Amino acid sequence: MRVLLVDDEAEFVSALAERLNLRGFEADTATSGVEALRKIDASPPDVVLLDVLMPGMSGGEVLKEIKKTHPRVQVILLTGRGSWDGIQGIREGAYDCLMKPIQIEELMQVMTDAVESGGQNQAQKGE
Amino acid sequence: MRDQEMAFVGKIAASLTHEIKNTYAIILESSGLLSDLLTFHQEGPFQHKEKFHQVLGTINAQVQRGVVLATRLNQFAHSMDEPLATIKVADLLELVVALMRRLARRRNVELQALAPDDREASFSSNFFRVLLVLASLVEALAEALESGGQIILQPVPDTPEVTILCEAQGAKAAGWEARLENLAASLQDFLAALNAQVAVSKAPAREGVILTLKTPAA
Repeated sequence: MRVLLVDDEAEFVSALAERLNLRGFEADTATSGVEALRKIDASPPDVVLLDVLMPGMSGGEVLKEIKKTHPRVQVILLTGRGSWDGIQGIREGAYDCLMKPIQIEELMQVMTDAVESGGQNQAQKGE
Repeated sequence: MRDQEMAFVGKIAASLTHEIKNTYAIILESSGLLSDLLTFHQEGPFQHKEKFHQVLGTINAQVQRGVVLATRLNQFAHSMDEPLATIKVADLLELVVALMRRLARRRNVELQALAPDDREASFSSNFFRVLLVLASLVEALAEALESGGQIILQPVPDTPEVTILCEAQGAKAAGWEARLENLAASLQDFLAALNAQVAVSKAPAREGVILTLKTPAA
């Protein structure tokens, strides 16, 4: 599974990418929304793990752009706060929302579920 | 203006706790990566492998502890966001316990909350002021109780208003009731703003204090 990890905390995404790669994922990183969109345009991943609060282009703006240009790419939001950011993101097409810090086993499960869901997100599955 | 000041304090505190959680996330992923490398790579014997796993486990446990504290601090900071918020009773009691448990333990008093039957039960009020009143009551009860006592926060069921009993179990200092009544009087401005009242509950009823918020439960 190809995964793009997007967070302005470079040390966070690089360590997480190495951990996912050790487990058989193909993980790449981006430290801004603009870099993420460029990488997605060049080669769309299966899943994007996207931090909500980033300087410059916010996670919410990146999510909208991804859903507009690459609707099949699943997006999982990462937030330090949870609740509202996550609900809003899922309404706008994110598959799910995870709280920082994350558990790698949970992340792997959610990414697998996202890819297997065939484009539906948590809100649509509940309908 | 007071609400604006509180909102400002809350905003700054929430922003800082967000950054603290980011820091913890980096430490966790970095220690997780070291642990993975020890587990996944089996090239030759490594004399200190077990010790490394043990130390990384300690780092992980302490970071998780820090995350819980930062999350509680973040919730506390967000209590100042809005003058009127929807408050879940279960979340409120859990947060009071998280914020005040250490203070109670200093006096060797245990603090716990009993969840309401309906975990979704909520009401509208000023979250920060409700927290302030409940925390003040807990602090006063902890001071009134002898070592080994227990404070149990619990919603009183089947009441038309939001009613919370702070039950104090164990031996208490003489005159504890008067001290609690004095505290209630000193909180009068907050209680009036919340449309709430505090009453001391004496034997033979369960001893402690009862906070009643004259707002219907949702």
